[in-house]
Amino acid sequence: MFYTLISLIGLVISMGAFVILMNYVDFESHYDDFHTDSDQIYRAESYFTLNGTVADSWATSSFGYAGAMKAEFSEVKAITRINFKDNERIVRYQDKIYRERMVVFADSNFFSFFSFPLLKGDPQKVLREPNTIAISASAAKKYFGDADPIGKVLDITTRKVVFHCAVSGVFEDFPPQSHLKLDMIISYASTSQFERDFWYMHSAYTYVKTNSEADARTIEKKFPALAEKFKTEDAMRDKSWEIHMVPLSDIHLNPLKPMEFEVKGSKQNVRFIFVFALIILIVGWVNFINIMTSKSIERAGEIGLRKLVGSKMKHMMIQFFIESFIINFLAVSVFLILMVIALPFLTDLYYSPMFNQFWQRPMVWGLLVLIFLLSTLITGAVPILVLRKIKIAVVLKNRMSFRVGMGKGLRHGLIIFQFTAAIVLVVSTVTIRRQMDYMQGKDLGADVTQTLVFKTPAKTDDYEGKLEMITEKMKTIGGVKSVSRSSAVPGEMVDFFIANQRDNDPEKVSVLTEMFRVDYDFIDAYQLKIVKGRNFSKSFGADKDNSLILTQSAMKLFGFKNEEEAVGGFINLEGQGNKKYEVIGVLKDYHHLSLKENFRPVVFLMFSPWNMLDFQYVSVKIQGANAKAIAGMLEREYKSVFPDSSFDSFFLDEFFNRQYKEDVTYGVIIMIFTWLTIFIVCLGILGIASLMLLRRTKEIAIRKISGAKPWQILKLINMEFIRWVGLAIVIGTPLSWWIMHNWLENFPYRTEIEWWIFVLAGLLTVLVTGITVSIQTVKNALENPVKSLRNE
Amino acid sequence: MIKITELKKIYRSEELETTALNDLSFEVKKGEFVAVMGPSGCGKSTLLNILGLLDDLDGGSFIFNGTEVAKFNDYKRSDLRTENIGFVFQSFNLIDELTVFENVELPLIYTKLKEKERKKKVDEVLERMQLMHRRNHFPQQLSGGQQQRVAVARAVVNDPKLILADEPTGNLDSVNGNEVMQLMTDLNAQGTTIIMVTHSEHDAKYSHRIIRMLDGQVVTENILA
Repeated sequence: MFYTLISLIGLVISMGAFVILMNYVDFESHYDDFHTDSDQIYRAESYFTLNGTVADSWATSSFGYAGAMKAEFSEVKAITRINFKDNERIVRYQDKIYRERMVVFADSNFFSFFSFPLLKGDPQKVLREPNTIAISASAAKKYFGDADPIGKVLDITTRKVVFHCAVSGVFEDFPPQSHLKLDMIISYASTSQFERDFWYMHSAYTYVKTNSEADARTIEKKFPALAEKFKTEDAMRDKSWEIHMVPLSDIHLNPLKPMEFEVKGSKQNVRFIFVFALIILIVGWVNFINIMTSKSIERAGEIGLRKLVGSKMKHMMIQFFIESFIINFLAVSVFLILMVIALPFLTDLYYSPMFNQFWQRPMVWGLLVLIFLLSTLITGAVPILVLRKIKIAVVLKNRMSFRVGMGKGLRHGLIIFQFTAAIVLVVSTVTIRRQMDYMQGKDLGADVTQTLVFKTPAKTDDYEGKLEMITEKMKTIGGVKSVSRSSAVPGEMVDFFIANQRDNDPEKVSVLTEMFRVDYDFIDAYQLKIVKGRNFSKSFGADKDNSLILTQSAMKLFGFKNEEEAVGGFINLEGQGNKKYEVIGVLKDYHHLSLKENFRPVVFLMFSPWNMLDFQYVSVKIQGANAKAIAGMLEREYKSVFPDSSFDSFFLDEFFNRQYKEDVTYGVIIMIFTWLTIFIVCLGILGIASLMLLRRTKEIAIRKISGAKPWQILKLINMEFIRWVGLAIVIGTPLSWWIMHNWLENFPYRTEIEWWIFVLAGLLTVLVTGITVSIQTVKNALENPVKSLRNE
Repeated sequence: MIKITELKKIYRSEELETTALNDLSFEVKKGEFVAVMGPSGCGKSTLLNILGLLDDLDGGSFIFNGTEVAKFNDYKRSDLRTENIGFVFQSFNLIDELTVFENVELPLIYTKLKEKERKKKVDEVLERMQLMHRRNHFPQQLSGGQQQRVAVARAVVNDPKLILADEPTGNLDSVNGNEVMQLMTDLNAQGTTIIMVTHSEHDAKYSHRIIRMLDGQVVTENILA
């Protein structure tokens, strides 16, 4: 009963862990495949090359790509576009005002191109007319309650424009496995002509349907020649404009690119979890096989006798398979019961959508049936393979030595596998945790603490004046250290790229840099370090319109040899004619985004080139601990000036750390399942140790009679296991180093894999093994040897 | 060498209390060869286990070499046993996974002897028992007589002052049995005290004195030589 229970618990955990982890793998790997023809849909992602080298790569395309591609390429079966310029908008309906995160423009064929279900409206017509809008079911509920939203007019506001759009359709909230998460979709016909065919602003996602993969590749090949026709400006003329046709199903797991909004998964993490799931399943099986084999070896005499009286191998096979079937069936049943109980709690976790649909996912059931059958087959077959060689005469004559030798190599190999798995998992858990701590603890070069950020309001009269006025007013609130405005904040991509040139560059190389609009106070407020030159200052009137500050990465990109050369140098900005902008300072590179990203080439400026770089955030640096009260006062001030806008604020350190949310969850998943694996390994050790002791009762008694003390018996049995752990350390150390080394390679800023992690993993395994074995052995070690011999 | 006085051993189960040794007293002098006889269940083996410090006693006194050992803890008993007592069992009790050499070496492993010295001692005793040619064999590869010789070798390898033998010929044919008894006699002649439990009158005749037991008590003592 004891052994059956151990095997059962091990199987329940390992099968359960496997199904849950594989559910994660499946969930992550099948984004966007709910669309009909999903395998024929590609996103055209831009990249620019200079002399064969990739200069920049974005997930986006320009507004003009779609029209030109449709007209020129016969391979394009259908094409649709999303324009997400100013995607965050304040939406008003009567007294209801909310800031919506994803309000976009989309071509009229959007709902026939994709398979997002429309609850109200006709897919062919819903986005045809100007100033019409389709909204999500939750948005409909939020603004209109139970009333029919069709025909009702929403005010959709940016900082500069207000659209009055009649609701023409309601779509089902986009499913969790969609890389697109849109709240509202305005008809493309509502935009200006410039946003329909302009080639110099890459603020659109272009989706293309083709008949085949080959067609997609042909389009990629043809695109640079097409782009040549549209490179009408100086900017970027030196570069080849190319596209990658990225399959829809790859988008979610591809690395994050500039101008991507979706929460990305990680191909590498998915692979890692997949391997992890397999390991934990195999560890469970190994447990089961080891215990069952050992147990069946105990039954060698019985089997020998059965053979003697004419029992056929077939009968014994049936017996083993029935046992295996029952235990595996029990394991699956217990898992299902536990899952029913645990599901509500799991749903509350980060990956709630994954668990929300748990029972509806065919993969879950398919996998359960598959591993049940596989598990029954494997766990039933291995003991048979070991026992099929039983020779009646040998067993009956010499039971003890037969028992000892049988299946020894297999059992030891399996135990070593378990220990190796434990060591690899412990090293992985510690390294992943250290990498998370490293990323979250490293000095960013910018101070994101004690900072309350609120988003700037919607369009109103005297917008800039009012914003400046409120900024100044907020500075007088007690506890407020500084207030500054900017087009982005750390943790949010700067994202506004333009192609600039160093003045008098004979080669006229356009350099794509991110433009970051700030006010006089921003650089000081965030404690960004000026390496050379100076900050923007009111004492220099020209700063407001003519001065630039570069980060070191931007400086290098422009080809300045050093800070001395850069300060006082001049830059020509895209679209500003021959006007020269002076570099007045160079900033030390800082981490604008998480440490998963490299330093970005950023140009700081105070004006708005092309009138497109609005202040989007106001950062309020707070002193003291009364942040909540201060936030309340800020909101009151804001509402008094901007009554028609919602006040949306956040603490910047939390906002910044959300970039690690996925990684932290991933780390927690790995940690939980590592401990579960170690627990299963412990169960295995317990079972094996107990069987080993059973087999060695006589030996222990003889040793005791020969003078062995209890601790020497403990040592004897422990050493048997420690030897295996030692071997596992030899195998597991280089293996885990290699795995983690490869994993860390994906981070530009990474922790070291320190030697002590391996020592820790080894010691932990030795300790856990020692404790488990000792608990089991101590009874035997203290047992009166006479009694043991008598029982033998 | 051994003096036991009013030795008491009671086995208790939930329903039953059985007195195995009932106020048993006797003395064994150094260099003596004593045979303990009696019907099954009379307490012979229990007595042997107590004398070998393998079992607790419930009353009485047990003086070994002038020291009261009745209250010794497990560690002290183990030390006393390692240094002074060798055991020979009816069923040999060899460890199947160890070679003849390793089996014989076992009691020395738990002493402070260095490996080289251990090897020397084991080889000496194997030579004496005429088992050198079998030193690397496993017990299952030996005949019963050879296995018991290995067990005797193991019992004497650390030069014990006392050998406790529990029916040493019980599992052997007469030829092998006699061989083992001759070995015991030789060891005794070399100065080792021997207490042997046996059912065999033939074997008992090798001893100096026969103690006959019944119901946990000594009923007669016959001095043979």
